[in-house]
Amino acid sequence: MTTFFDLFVAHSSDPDVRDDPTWADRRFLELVATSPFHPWRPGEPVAAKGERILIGVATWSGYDMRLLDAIAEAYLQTQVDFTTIDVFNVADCGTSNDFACYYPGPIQITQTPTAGLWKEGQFDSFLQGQAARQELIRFFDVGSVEIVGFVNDWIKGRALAQ
Amino acid sequence: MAFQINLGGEGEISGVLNQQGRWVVTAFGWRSSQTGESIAELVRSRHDFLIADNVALPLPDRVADEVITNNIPPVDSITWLGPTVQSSEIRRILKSGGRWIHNGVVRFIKP
Repeated sequence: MTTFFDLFVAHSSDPDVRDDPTWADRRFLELVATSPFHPWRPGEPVAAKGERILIGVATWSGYDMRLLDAIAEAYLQTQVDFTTIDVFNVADCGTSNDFACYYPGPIQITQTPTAGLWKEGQFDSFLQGQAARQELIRFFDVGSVEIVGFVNDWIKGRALAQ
Repeated sequence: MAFQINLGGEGEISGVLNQQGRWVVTAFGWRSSQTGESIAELVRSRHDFLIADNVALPLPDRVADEVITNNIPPVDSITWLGPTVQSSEIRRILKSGGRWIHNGVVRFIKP
């Protein structure tokens, strides 16, 4: 499954869309609508039961896009119905202060992906960057998927092909 | 020897710092998204860093054979971290015949 990664690929190389500043953001919402993820927006309710994970990703990050593909695949295979996976596009945050609408507490966002965990409706923990990626990989048991290697190999492959 | 400048966002090779807020640029505090290495660890493994304003690159005209941008926020835009890399600057620092490679794809060759 390379649904989200295909967005990254298209925006990297397709001349019809790469210079459109909003194409990736629009396409991201379309893809989320057909995925097991829920596009969460500030003000919407938080799942009161079970675990809820809120993942923030950048559409320009191949690593983030590949991560979503891996999680979606694992989620669909295991049917982890006690976990709600909300996602959002970090491009929706124009300033660092905007992240306060997504994660409680004094958190300074410097890297993606971002990941917050809620248990029984209560905020539990937050991670970002490589630490968030590693924790999400562990949580969804997608350890066999080499997120970083996949993206790096793709980029190197494109470079060698030219 | 070709002069290659990597402006990549998440450090596909060298743990690049571009697009990181200046508050995270400390020798031990910042860790790259990809590998989790600190700046100090990357320096020890012989990476060179240029910490500078990304809007006005502190490099002379026509100096680079290749500029690489991988996994960076859209050029010529603004994110929550501030302004992103300017395509005009990439074009300025490239030599004639120099290439700008974005996510492995040649995006521009300087005439």
